[in-house]
Amino acid sequence: MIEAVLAQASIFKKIVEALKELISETNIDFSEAGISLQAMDSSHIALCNLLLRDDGFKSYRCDRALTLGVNLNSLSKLLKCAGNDDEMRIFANDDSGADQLNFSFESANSERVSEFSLKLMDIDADSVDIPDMDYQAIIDMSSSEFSRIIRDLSSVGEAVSIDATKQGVKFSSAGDAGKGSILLKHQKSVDGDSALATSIEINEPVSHSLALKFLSSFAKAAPLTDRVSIHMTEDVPVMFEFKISEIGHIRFYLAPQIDDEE
Amino acid sequence: MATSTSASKAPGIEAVVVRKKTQTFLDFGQKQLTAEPCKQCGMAYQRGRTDDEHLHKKFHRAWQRRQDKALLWHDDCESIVCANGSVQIVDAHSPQRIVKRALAILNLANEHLGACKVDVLGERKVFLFIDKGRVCGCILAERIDKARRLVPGLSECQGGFIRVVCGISRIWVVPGERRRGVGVQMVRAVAMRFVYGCPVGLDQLAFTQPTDDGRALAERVFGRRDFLVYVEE
Repeated sequence: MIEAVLAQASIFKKIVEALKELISETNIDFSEAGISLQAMDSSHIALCNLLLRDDGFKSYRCDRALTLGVNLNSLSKLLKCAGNDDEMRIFANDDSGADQLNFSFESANSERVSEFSLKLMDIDADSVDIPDMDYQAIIDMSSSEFSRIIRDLSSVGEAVSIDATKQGVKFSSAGDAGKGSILLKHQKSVDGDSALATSIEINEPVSHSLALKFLSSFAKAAPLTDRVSIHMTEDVPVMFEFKISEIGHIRFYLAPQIDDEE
Repeated sequence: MATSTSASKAPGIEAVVVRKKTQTFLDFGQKQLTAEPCKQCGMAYQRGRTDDEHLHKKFHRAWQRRQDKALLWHDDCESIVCANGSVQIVDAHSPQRIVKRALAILNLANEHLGACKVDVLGERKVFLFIDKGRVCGCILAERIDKARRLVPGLSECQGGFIRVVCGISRIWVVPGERRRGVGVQMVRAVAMRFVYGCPVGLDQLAFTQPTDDGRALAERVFGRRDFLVYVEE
């Protein structure tokens, strides 16, 4: 038996919206520690990793660890039936082998309860261990600023190069029609007045070229949180982390583009 | 020189960007990075390589068409109506044509299961799950008289022989139709109709050595981990 109650359905809705563009089908792992998900896009260029800790839920119960395969497009359609302020309950019964995942949404005044269930799928995906590592540069910036930069540069080119130095971070892109760049300067204090400030923790300057196609699907996670942190080290995948308040995070890993050898 | 190479290629971002970039892939040790067979059609190809993906797509489509044709079923024979389809029973008394078709589907399943081919039905019966004119799964059931209990979670037997009535020699569900209860409903149909007019209890049903999926199904059907198994003759 699995049962997880989330005070606000909107968080889950936004998570699914953030993921469904990148991946269409995924296994969701339910364990005692919470709900997690790891999926790679079909081309093996990007990977996302979602974690929702058990203590972030209003109540959480998982008797036996279970992996359930879902189609994210169907899930997203189903979640459209939930109000943003509804309380959401996810439950599955594994006594007779879970073949569906159930959702119930209760409105804030408890007057309306709706219940939906989602058919499960048999998805063959191997989960991988992502090594923890120390990154050379960590950029902490506003998530809305991030999605705006990605949107702006998407109209210029297909790839963005992110250059981080002690002074600031520069996003630049070039295409047939021209080129553009956006520079964000490092500001000493992040907390307090300015939610738009950018802070950079850096050991050595790092530069990466990344496909905008993937970044624009990562940017779909921006509504979840105010901040995004970009973790970079030369020659390893870039990690984008969106912290979801008090419950967990979504992390995206993206393989960079490298210079052609010829 | 950079411009001359880019001019020979199709116009793209390379026209302005001086150096051409190559997209790298993530390698966290996942299996699929190497050429893994497609779970349905079995063709091995590398995920993410456009030419490989394209080739696979073409092959998969052709395979799908063949498979769809092979799985069509419009014959009517003795059947039991289930929640989302019906289970039809084919035995030696069915018309020859239907027996032949059933064996063809059974051998398709054998190919997937890696089991040997079945040429003659004999005293055995085939149970086919049909939904919307297509076969979703099949069972080959036979008359046996003894089976032994499995040690839970292992592939060993324990205890002595137990008298049973019916053995499920093959069970297979079409990959795209899994996780919707087809297997369970087929086993129930076997229990109900294997012996005409006399339902067989679940404690008189046995499986041959199961695959991992088969074990999961058997545990679900019998509600116990030490279900009965037998060795096929």
